[in-house]
Amino acid sequence: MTEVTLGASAGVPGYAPPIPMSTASPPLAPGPQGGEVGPAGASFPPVVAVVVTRNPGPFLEEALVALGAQDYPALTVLVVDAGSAEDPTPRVGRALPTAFVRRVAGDPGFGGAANEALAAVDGATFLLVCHDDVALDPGAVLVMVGEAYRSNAAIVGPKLVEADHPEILLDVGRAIDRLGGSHTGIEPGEVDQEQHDGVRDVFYVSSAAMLVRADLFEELGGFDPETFPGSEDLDLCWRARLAGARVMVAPDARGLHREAAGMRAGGDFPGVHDVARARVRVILTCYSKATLLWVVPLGVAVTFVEALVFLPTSRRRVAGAGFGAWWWNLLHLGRVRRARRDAQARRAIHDGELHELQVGAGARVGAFLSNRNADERLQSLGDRMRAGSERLGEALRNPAAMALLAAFVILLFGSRALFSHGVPAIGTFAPWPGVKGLLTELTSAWRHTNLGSTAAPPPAIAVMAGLGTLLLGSVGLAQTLVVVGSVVVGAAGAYRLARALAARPAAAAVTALVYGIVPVPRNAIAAGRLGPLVLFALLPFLALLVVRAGGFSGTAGSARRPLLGLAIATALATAWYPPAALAVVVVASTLLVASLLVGGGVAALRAVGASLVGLLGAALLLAPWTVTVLDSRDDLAALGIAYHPHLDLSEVLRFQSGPAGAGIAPWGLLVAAAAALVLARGPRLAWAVRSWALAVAGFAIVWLPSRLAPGTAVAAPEAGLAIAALGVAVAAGITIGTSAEELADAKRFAWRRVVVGVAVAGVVLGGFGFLADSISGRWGAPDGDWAGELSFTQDRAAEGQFRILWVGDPDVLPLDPVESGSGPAWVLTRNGPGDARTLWRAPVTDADRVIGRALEVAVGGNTARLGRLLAPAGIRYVAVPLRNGPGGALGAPARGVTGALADQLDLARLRSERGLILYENQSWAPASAVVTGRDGEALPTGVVDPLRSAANTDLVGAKPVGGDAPVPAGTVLLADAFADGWRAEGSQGALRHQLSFGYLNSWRNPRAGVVSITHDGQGLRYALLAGEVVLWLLALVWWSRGRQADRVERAATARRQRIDREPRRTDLGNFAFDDDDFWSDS
Amino acid sequence: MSDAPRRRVYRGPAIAVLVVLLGGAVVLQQGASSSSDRSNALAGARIGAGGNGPSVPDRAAVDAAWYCAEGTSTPDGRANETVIIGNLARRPITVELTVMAGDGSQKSRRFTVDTLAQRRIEVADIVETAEPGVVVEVFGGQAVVEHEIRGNDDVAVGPCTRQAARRWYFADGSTDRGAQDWLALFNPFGDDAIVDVRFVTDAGVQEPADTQALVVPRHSRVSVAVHDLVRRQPNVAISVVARTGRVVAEQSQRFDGTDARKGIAVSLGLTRGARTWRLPSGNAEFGATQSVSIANFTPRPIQVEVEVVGAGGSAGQPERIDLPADGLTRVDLGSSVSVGTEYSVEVRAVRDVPIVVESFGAWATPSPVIGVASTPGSPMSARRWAFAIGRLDDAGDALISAWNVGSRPITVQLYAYTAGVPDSPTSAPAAAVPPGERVTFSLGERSIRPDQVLVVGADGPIVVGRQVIGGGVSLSPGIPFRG
Repeated sequence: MTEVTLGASAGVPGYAPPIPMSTASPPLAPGPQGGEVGPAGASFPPVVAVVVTRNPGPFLEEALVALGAQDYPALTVLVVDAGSAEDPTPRVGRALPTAFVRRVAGDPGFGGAANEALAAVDGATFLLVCHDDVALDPGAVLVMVGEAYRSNAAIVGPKLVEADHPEILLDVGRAIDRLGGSHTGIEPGEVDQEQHDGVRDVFYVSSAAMLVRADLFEELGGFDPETFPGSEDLDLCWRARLAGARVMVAPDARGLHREAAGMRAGGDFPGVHDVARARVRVILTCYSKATLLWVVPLGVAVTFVEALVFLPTSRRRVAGAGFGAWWWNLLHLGRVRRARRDAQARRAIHDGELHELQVGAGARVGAFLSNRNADERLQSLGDRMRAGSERLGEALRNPAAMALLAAFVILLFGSRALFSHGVPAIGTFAPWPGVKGLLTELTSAWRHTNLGSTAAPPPAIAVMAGLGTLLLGSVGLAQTLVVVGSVVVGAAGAYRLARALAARPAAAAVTALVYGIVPVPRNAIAAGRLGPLVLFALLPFLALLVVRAGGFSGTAGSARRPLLGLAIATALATAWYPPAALAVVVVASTLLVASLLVGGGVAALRAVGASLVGLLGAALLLAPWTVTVLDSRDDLAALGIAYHPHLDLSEVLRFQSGPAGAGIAPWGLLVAAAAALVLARGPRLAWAVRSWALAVAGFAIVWLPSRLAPGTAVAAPEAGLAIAALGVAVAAGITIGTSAEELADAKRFAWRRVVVGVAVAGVVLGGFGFLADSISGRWGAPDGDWAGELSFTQDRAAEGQFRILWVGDPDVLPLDPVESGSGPAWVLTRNGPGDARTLWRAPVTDADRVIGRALEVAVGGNTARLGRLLAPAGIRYVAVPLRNGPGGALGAPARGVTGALADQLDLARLRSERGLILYENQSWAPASAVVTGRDGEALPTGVVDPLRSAANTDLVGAKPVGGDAPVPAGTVLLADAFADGWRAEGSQGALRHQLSFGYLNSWRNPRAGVVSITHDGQGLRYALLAGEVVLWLLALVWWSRGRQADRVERAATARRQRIDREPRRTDLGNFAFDDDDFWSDS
Repeated sequence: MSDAPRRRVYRGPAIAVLVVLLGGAVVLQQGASSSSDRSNALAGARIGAGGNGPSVPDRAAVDAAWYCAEGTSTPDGRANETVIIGNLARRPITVELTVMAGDGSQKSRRFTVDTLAQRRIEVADIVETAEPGVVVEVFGGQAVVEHEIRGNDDVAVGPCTRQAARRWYFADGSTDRGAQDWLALFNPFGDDAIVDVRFVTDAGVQEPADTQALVVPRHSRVSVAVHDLVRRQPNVAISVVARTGRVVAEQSQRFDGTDARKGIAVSLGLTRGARTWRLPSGNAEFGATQSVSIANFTPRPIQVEVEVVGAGGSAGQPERIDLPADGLTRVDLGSSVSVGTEYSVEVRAVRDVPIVVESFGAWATPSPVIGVASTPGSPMSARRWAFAIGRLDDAGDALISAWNVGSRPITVQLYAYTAGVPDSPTSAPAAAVPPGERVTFSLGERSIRPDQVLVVGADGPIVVGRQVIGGGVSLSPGIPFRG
């Protein structure tokens, strides 16, 4: 819809034939009328300058005056106003009375507005599309028109220079690289010495000033409005090129370009995502199908890499938007289809003919390194470093911040061996395989944990793969960053939580400091417990979301976003560590209990409700893995509940679940936290009490089960201690926040100052403990791992696939052991010591229980042939770690196990490091094997006792099956849990599937030939995975939209608060507190 | 924003609650520590519940391996060996007998043993070798395995064991003139064992270099001629400690009649000491001498009491004997009982120090039988005991003695199974046995055939031993049922 503003004249003057301006408004003031004859009687083709404007600044007049001053007599000016807030007509009238004005409602964008010329102008030979901030030299139009005729060019652009510094070049036509990246060939700040003044073909010219043949413009349908912002000129020129037209630059025509986007009224900035999407749309529109085949994947890959490179710069949003633009356009191909059809319909040339106007792939890198991007990047880095150092300098005036920085340095120092040698493969620190391996596991319909299962794989594998991809496949570094970074992330979360609660940076810094130096993460690292470590990192964020969702904080927005955030965060934490789901509920419930003492019950109730809603949301997001988790209710060890910590009260209070925490250092932190109960008042005291409730809950979770129900398997102690640590840290932060107030008030009693001194000393003492633990460089973790010791076994896979049975104390076993209570804990790994693909194992199946029963039988002295009992399952090695790694933490004695294994006739002990007892099963058979002859026919099938049938069967003669090698006639045995989905195809077709040994798969292969074994259900797995991805995308998009709104709302709230606080700040001087709003709200 | 009204927060209650919680935790910690210790102790007891000697496998056993260490299978062997398998299950069982020939080679053969039947297998029928280590694996049911060795016109029968261990002890031995003492070390496992063998004699401890770091290769048996290493010692106790691996140790003693002792005796080693030992089978008769050897392998001197319990449960005054550290003693029982008397012996350490006890007997003219026999004491009692064999032949006899070691009267029954008859057993008449007394069943008198498998059952704790008479003499303990 267009809105017409009536001007002063009824017609538009132009060269013959006159341009009937049927829908255009007459100018406000009378101008020159009728056609014109140029100098020396030359006739001039009519040119209509289409000046698109929107919320123009003072530059509009400059542009119009310059047009009015053109020495081209057949020039008519049409100003198209693209929805300015204020009608520019009066200004146009004053600057150029002969101009026509056409107003367009809404915001059609530059292209859409310029396209108004298609309807408004009739009979013009050329259209001069102009920005409203470009002032052309008086002879520019004449030069461009002349060049258009001379070179038979359809589109001609001028040379553009800076408006305020005309000696600085901006544009003399542009090239693009293969991915549509624009290249001017001009260095930033390059002085115009006529070095680019040759008339030449260019790929495209800027729409800042572009002379385009009117008939072509009409044929092309004008600009593609969808390519706004930023790519409408490229699109038009590219389509013109495809149609066989020339695009040229005529540097003798010059325009002063003010690049005035920043001078317009707010809200007119094009979004980076829109710019990126428009650019990708042009590529998808203009390239041929054949070219797109390689350009699309290349574009996705390159923009991804750029996103990584731009990460530390201010352009990271731009780069991220570029990456997202590909996905957006690929997901909305329908919107491109029509434009593409039109463009390709007019194609007269091959893509290759345009290559000479494009720059090579290296130009993109070169431009980044040496041109505008480089400067921008360096400038960005410089700016950020400068700003960062300023902030740092300011922060370092604060002792708490200095301590935080020192703690960070100590963390790096203490983690040096983890960075240099990698994280040892202890506990659940199993080595991460390559991204491909992770993705294969994620998409596989069959999980290879223990004897296998159809259970859905854990989403954490996707996160691992994502992190590995982000680091260009350096999964080891990704793992180290997750392990070490958890301390940093946890501390950062504690800081944010404290800021939300206490608002004072110093207090928040102390909270972060205390949370970072508690021994919990160090002991988790020493024991190799990834899940509790991730919980430690995410717990402060979860708590913050619980607090926000409960409405304790006055800055909470709508309920949707906190709840959605809580669901997402809970899902993230739970994906890594299933008990984390309960941690959220524990936090909320603790707040509810504390409300009995300090009030805020309604908010606490809301928090509990929100935590439950978050839990449900997380369950939905983690589906179908949620089903797997629910299936684990009879096998809690699969969820990480497999430990039997025997910590006494003192050890629990000192967080000493491992080597860290010994000594008196952690007492200092408790003292600092306890001081909050003595010093704090009012709302701050309420939060001190809540923090202590959290601490008590965390301590109780660890300590009470071992006292009241010894023998009961529980979660790793670091999980509960993380909750306690958060409570202690927040309380300590409150102490420091309060103490500043106490110090500021000279009237306070001296004893309060003594308490403050003791609290500060307590934090310092805790810091010494942290420092002491940093000496080893690996936080007490062993300097090697059993995976390294057993790496030789991987070479044995060539002799047939096999498994390693790990038996012993769950504390020192790798991965997620099976813990039945009646027998020793155990876990199986496949073709080696195992990796992270087998983390978060599937719940035990009946087949898995056979392994457990075999061990129980052996430990009970009821077999001397454990090797035979394990042989059908392909178990070649039995490993009994007594420590979690060479020189690592000692597990509980496994006397029954070691004795039982030593009594076995078919287990041969192998040499191994101290702390690991290793046997080779001399009755072993490959996990995928064929048994030939009468032995094969005699293999037990159907419903039989797995152990008794195995004890009576000698599989030593079984031969491995694998690859494309022909399999001899016999019985093919697959040592994976029996499942109907297994299929085997032989040379004669499908083989008959049968239950073997009562829990495994076998097929009778009547004739020699290749046998392929597969499992059904892959399609369903892909579908579920796709559904999961969609669900996450929806959740993230929904959440991020809320985030934007919340930001605006919070910014407004913060502004109001700043204004409100200003007088008080004056009254209280430097010791004023800006957190009382929150305290009061609670 | 919270909709809760702003309310005053009191410090006192919060601190009080925290103090109360802390106090409660301290109290609970104190109480829980002791209960935790108890539970740990129980756990330890469960873990350490392995027997000191062979036992009948559980019904739940998937398979059971029996190791027979001593014996030979060559025509001129010093102790040619026959394995005797008694099937206690009411269905046929499969048995795989493997002979490990000492050079690492092994040969196996599978047999089926009928329901409740006995099967005798001469090792020489499988492979002839001077150093056979025999493994008998039983699949599919409960069974007991014994072996019989013959030499010097004597026979010795004793149980094989289901247990390999790092430590083995023998209290009785002699390297007197005319005596040979052979120690058989059998390693049935897949990795080598390295052992140290020490000898405790009246002259002190001897550790010959040849028996230090002695390698017992995998799947092999090694025989140690003790009489060549420890010369002319009337009393020799032996300890075997494995540095790595596990072995089965058994001892045989051959006497050529130089000092009126003639025959062969075999005894399985003991895997650990105990404070109390019982020997249920004792018969004082003309021409027979019996003694009890007691060894202390600890570094502490102790006192032991030897109590001989005669017929009717009458006991004389226990004899108290000082036993030095790493010392041994032999107590002759001839002076304690009169001829024609049946007796049992209990040996106790006065302090809680483990000792090892073994008895030795020699029968010579005017005894109707000639031979020697030895048997380890029994450190445990059980309600049921089994033997794979009773009498060796129809001409001989065997006495099964059951000693009521409980504090109340019990009834003891002897069951002699009939091969292939699932409805077995037929029982000998039940015998009532007062506390402290014993009952002896003569298999000859009850016409129990040599091919019958035996079980002795009672409704209270008993200790059971066997004395085989005919073609020589042999003493051995029964094989208890666990649980």
